[in-house]
Amino acid sequence: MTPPETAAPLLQLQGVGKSYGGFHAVDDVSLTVHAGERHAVIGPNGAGKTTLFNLVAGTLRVTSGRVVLNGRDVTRAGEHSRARAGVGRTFQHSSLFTTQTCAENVALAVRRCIGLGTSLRVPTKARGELARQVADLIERVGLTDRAGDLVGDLSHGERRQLEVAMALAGDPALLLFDEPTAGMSPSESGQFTRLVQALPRTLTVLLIEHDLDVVFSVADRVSVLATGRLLEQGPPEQIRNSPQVEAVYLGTGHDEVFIA
Amino acid sequence: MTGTVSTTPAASVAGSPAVTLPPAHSRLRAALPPLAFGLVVLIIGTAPYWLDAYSLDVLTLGLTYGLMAMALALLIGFTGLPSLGHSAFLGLGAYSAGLLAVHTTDNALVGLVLAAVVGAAAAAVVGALSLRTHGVFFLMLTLAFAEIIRQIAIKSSFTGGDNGLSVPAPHIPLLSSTGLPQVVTVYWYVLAVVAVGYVVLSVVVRSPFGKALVGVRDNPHRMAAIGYSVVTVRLRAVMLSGALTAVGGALLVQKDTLVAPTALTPDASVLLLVMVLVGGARSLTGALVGAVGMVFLRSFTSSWLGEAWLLVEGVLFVSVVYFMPSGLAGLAATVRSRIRRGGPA
Ligand SMILES: Nc1ncnc2c1ncn2[C@@H]1O[C@H](COP(=O)(O)OP(=O)(O)OP(=O)(O)O)[C@@H](O)[C@H]1O
Ligand SMILES: [Mg+2]
Repeated sequence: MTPPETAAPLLQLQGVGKSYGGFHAVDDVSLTVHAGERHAVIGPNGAGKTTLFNLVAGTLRVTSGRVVLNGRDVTRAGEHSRARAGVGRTFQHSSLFTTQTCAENVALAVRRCIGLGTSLRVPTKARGELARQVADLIERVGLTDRAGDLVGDLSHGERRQLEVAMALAGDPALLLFDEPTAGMSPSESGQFTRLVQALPRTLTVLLIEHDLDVVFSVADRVSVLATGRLLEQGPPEQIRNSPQVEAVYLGTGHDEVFIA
Repeated sequence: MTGTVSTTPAASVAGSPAVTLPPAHSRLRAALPPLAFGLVVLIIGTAPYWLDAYSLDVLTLGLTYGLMAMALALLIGFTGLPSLGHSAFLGLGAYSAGLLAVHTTDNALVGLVLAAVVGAAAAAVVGALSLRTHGVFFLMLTLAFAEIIRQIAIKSSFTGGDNGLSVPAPHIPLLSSTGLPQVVTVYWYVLAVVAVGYVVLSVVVRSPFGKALVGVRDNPHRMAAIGYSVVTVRLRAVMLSGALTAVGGALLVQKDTLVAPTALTPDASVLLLVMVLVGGARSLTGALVGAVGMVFLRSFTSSWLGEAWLLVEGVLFVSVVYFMPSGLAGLAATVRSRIRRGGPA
């Protein structure tokens, strides 16, 4: 797999920063992700990975820099308008509607994507399409058997998969996966890897992942974040062999314990 | 069926559930809710023929508050936005419909439309000022807004000041010409308007928009991440609630041919709140029943309770919050599921 260097940049972060008081959670990060790229962000706990995602998704506003999505400056755009512009995401800590079924969770996302999110009724001719998309998304993450079950009754791993289904609704242009496999069983994690590999290259993927097997089997490029700063960026082989990366990340006890 | 938020694992969104013929006893059980519904319709529909004029007037008042309680339940129970100043919308509706009747037309329906527009517009202003920030600001602003409206009602001459506004009896299209006693005419009229409000709200809470409201209540962060504008969804709910509460206020002034600032005290907001909580904030039917029940309770005890009514209200409030957090609707749901789990009927 060669990184599609020639493709247009889908996401450009230009000197992006987020500080809390004097503390820089994300510090002057510049990053370009091309359309179709699978880009992994790795780094030790507290490096600022989730904060960076929140800046891309619009959950948080930058304190410095610019966020450009598909050539459009979205630095001031709200979270929902970035979602409408094609940003789909999963949360590191599952954020679902626990008193509703899997199907209802996904349907909420799909209805919004087909423009019926706040309508007063679903037109009869749209019902089939809605049901089809919901069933399809649920099947892709392997939750068909659980479609009618309450999210509150799902296992941790199943909730992670439902997160992925919600993010995939409406074919977003940019997918943000925040530690999707944390808490998944090895087989679920393998299924997730295959799902990402099977995604069409019209989708661009940005992935935070502690499991380096997953990183090295899906990523075209890897960025290493430490203490809010972009430490190094390159193809997986380069990162794997980088002594600098090893020093701050791989060497300093990358361990299951840190995957919280 | 009530307007309860569905938390049952109905997989109806994805594909239709398999249809099998139920056994005889469960068919009987399935027939029970429509039977109960029919009974309620019968009682309400025949009330003017066996209720005395006073009780009929109290029932009319109960239904009017029922509409406002349902409108408040839409905010509290479905959208997760508590309002402490819903009397503001009641007052705006009552005074705008009253002033219209005094100065322009006694057509009751025109009054309702004006009240709805004024209520929605005021709600839009309050919402736009407060919904971008934390929910607490909405709470505080509704409280402040209610006080502003009350002070305007007291201080202005066009509202009749402390004495309130006397308005001519409304002309109710179709009903006023029947020659029925005024109390009966007004009862039918209020019943019709509240029924329409109930249907509108029931349709809304079951619609995709209603599900978006519940989504915003339960997890606004996820809603934003899947592309819903949380502020817009909340704003629409506030406007709908404000409009329907103002319609309730208009019904009040049309029924009593009088509105005074005393109707706009914080007591009125608290009363609405208690009605909603007693009935069950997540159920439209619950809020309606809670309102009718509270109005009857107040009317038939206030002669000997006087000021102590507030104490009763307080005790009721605390016990509901403590022992029955889902209100009467929650109680009914528990009973229903017990029956369902029981043996063949
Ligand atoms: N609201 C906040 N106020 C102050 N500091 C914050 C806030 N949010 C995050 N931080 C800090 O910013 C740093 C980066 O946090 P972030 O969650 O982005 O790290 P992360 O790389 O995702 O870590 P993990 O691997 O544990 O998920 C942490 O030190 C965290 O304590
Ligand atoms: Mg994180």
